[in-house]
Amino acid sequence: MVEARAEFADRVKPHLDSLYRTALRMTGEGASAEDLVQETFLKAYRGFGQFEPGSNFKAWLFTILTHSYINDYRRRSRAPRVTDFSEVEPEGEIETPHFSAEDVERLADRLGDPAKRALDRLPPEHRLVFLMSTFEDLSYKEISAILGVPIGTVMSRLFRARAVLRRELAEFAQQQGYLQEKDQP
Amino acid sequence: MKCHEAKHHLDLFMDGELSVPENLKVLEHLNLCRPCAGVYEGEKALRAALRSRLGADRAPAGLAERLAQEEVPSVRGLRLPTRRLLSAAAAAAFLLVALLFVLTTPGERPQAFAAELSTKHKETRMGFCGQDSDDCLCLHCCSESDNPVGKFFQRHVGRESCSHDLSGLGYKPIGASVWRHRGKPVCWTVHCDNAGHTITHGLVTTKIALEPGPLLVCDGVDRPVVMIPVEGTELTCVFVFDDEGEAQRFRTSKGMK
Repeated sequence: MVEARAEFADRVKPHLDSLYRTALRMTGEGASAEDLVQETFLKAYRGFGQFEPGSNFKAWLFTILTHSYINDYRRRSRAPRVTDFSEVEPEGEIETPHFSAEDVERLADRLGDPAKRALDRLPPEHRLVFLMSTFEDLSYKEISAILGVPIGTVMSRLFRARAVLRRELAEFAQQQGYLQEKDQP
Repeated sequence: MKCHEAKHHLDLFMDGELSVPENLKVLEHLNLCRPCAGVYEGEKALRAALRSRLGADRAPAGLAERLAQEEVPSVRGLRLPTRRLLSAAAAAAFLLVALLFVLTTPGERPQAFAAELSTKHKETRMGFCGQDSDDCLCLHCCSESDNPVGKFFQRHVGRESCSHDLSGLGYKPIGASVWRHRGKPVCWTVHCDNAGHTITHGLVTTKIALEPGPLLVCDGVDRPVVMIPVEGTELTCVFVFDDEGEAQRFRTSKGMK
């Protein structure tokens, strides 16, 4: 039994960083992230019989992680102020600011904190999609299966999350004087 | 392809979600159009910067090794962090309130019953810990080592509740409580395992209005319910599980289908 568990841990190990950092961005602190990863691991270990050989193991682990988060952690996590999209996006499709590569280069070292704040303020469903797509290289189709929502929903959440992030980073950059107000064409 | 189309497709292009012909069209446009290429380069740099700052966290050293180790659960030194234990117990208490609400027979006034239970629930919801009192047993705090739950119920209702043992499934009791409803005792215990699963286990003495094998919906989540009649009595043991996998493990351990 001990050996089987150790073997299973070896199988999970290549994905541990991915699981942990997603958990960290969702729960907001290290101890909770570790708890969530541990819970994910144990559920996966017990439910390994349900895993279909040949299918995507990483996506399967993320399914367990996100469900555990949604069912459990989310209910009791410190609730940061959630971005109200009706407030950020007045109407229709928004024109989001784009940075030039030079802007980003100037900003890069100071980008971490405002980006974290912007992410924390996104509704969890949007944040999850953003994290899985941007940092974990999961495809829209995989994310759609993980969250049990249509691909169109994945796309709209992702694009909104990115739009909000760009906008907040642009605001930050302007406040800090790193970015000149550009004339919109 | 026009500029606005290229911009519109840029995210999909960068996410690798375009079909091959669409991909080629965007590439072609980026090769020809300097402003769009600038937007693309900026977006690429932004993604790289975000990745290196937010997407590069690593799991703490030793986490893989800790996961690989088999844990030995123990009631006194329950490995769960206290806050997790508390919230698990609070969630379980809420489940029981919801369950009893459902179980209330039509003859009773559900609202009044629920209100009564909510009050009781509030009194005990802090997850037992530190609340070892006359009608609430905290297994973390109590000093009795020999069958504390059995003795607790024996003292309160004159019997040992039921003999269902969940330790074979890795669950340990974390607390027990009892109160009276219409003169009849409601006994309940909460069990946790190391993964934070909770089993709320109530001995219900009022008439059961549910068919066997139902799902209880709490917090938008389906909670499987398993009911086992106590032989030789009119009592029913009700178990509420976190998910179907846990319920199935329990059924299997009891030789149920």
